[in-house]
Amino acid sequence: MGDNIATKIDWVQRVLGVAIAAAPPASASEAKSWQAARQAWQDANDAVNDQINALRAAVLDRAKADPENVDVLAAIADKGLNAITRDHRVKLMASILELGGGAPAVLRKSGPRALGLITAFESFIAASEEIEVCDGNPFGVPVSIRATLVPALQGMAAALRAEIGG
Amino acid sequence: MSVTFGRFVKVMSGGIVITDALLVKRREKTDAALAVLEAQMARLAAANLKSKVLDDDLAVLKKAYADAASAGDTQQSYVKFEYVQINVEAAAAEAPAKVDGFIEQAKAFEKLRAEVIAGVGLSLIPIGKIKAPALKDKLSKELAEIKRSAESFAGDDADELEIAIGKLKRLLARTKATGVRRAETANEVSASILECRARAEGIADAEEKKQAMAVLDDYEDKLVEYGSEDADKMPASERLTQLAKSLGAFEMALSSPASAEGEMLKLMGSERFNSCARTMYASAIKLGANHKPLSPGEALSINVYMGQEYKSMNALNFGTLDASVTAQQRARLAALNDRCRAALAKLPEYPATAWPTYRFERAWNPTQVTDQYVQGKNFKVASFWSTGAGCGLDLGEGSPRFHFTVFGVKAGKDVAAMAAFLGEGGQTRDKPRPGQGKGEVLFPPGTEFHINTRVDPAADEFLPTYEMTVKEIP
Repeated sequence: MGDNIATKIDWVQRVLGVAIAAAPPASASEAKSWQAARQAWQDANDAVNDQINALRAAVLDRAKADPENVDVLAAIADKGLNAITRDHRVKLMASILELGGGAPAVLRKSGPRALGLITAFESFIAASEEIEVCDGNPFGVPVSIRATLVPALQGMAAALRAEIGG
Repeated sequence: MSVTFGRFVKVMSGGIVITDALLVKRREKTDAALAVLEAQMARLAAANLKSKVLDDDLAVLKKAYADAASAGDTQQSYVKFEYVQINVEAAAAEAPAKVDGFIEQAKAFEKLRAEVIAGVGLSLIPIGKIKAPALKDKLSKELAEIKRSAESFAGDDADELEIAIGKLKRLLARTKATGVRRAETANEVSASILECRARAEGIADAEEKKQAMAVLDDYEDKLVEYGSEDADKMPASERLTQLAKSLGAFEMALSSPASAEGEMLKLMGSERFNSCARTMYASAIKLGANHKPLSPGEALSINVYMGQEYKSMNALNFGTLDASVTAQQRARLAALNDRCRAALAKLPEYPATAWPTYRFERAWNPTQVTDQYVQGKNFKVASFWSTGAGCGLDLGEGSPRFHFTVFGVKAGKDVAAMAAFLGEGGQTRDKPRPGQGKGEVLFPPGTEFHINTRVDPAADEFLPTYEMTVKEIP
């Protein structure tokens, strides 16, 4: 996913039905710190999506060669991998879009909620067995969900705390 | 660290997580149960026993164990070990009792085998003393075969021990039957045959002598036949007793022509005398009864009526004998009647607690319903009157039918022990009354009865039957 904010707002509104107001402009320093963290998150998110897609392909390949497990593997490829982060990523995505370019007023208003979502997501990743087995999957597909997402989440959290003093 | 395929599938499809530690734990439990099972197999082997059933069970479990151990990943291995663990633990739980049982059975088996072999040795002594060579040879071969059979059982196949013990028990019973008592009775019969032959030599009438000798030849054959066991017949010792008793009666008849036995021999001839005596003693032996206070000849006079002679003996009493019957034959039948009546009179009274007895009779005279068998009337029987201790025997063909419930006083006598055929009238639906006989209760000619009740049949009854209760008038 690229850095096309209008596209992301449109997606969130269409899929989640969440109306997001256009963010007011940010100061130069605030914007620089937050935007960098947000970009890092978006890159990490894209990387994880690519990893999951590669894993899905490997699972489907195995399903073709393993009639005994074909049903369960198809179900994993179809639903299990999509739901691997539950609703954490979607909620966080909506919240990030709301924060926009990182204007101080917006960060102060919506930052605490975003920070809460980031903390919850981080805790979920640490405890998730699904993420653990995907990271160590038996198909030899390089997957590192935990290692990819956690630093990006921590970067966003640090940027937000710096701005809102949390 | 890479996770197993099984764990990946289990976690991603929402199942439980199987860790290596869990698998190790399950495998350890399975190993422990397997060790118990193998220890029991070792106990069995130490007792010089083998069980193909247990061996096969263990082989199957070991194969399943190997399969579980070589499964591709932890999850599959864990699932397979679950099956192995359950089955090995179940087998291990049952094995000690099974092995205990096998070891006990093996001990019982060896004890029985020793008893059979010792029994054969003991039986050979009296068998060696049997005077009849054919029987001696037959029984010696029988004993040798028993010993061979006993020795041929391997005794180490735990699965077959129960069957082998059953066979040994049967062999032991046969060995005991081939024992002293049988040998003694066989010798008694042999000696009696010799004695009878000596007596028969003195018979003046050539035809009678020939018949008597033929009968004794038959006894020689029967001694060999009856002297060995036949699973379908009475035990050999009982059949030899039967021979000894009938031959004893024959010997009495030959040695004392004026005795009851001698008189019956004259009336019956050697062949009939002996065949009747044998059936009579077979009945008595089967019932565990004796003929006291009657002599063999007197008992035989009742047996004759209960066998094939009853029709002509009754016909004489009814006055319905065919005109072609000669005076000599009539005199013979009259003598048989007299002897039967006299013997009946000697028998003890039928116990008061054992009445009633039962009898079926088919109408033979059109006036029976209107004149003879009328409630409140008395009637006197013209000939012997058979009743059953437990039930009536319906042999007739006419109609209507009379069913008597008979309360006797003195005249009716229990003659089951003299029966030519066992079981006549002996069956009983209810619990037997105290002293109740096991067959026929016979009244002599001239016994009078009072008809207490008569219940007439319904008009549409298929076989109209008059239910009557009668009481003897002493």
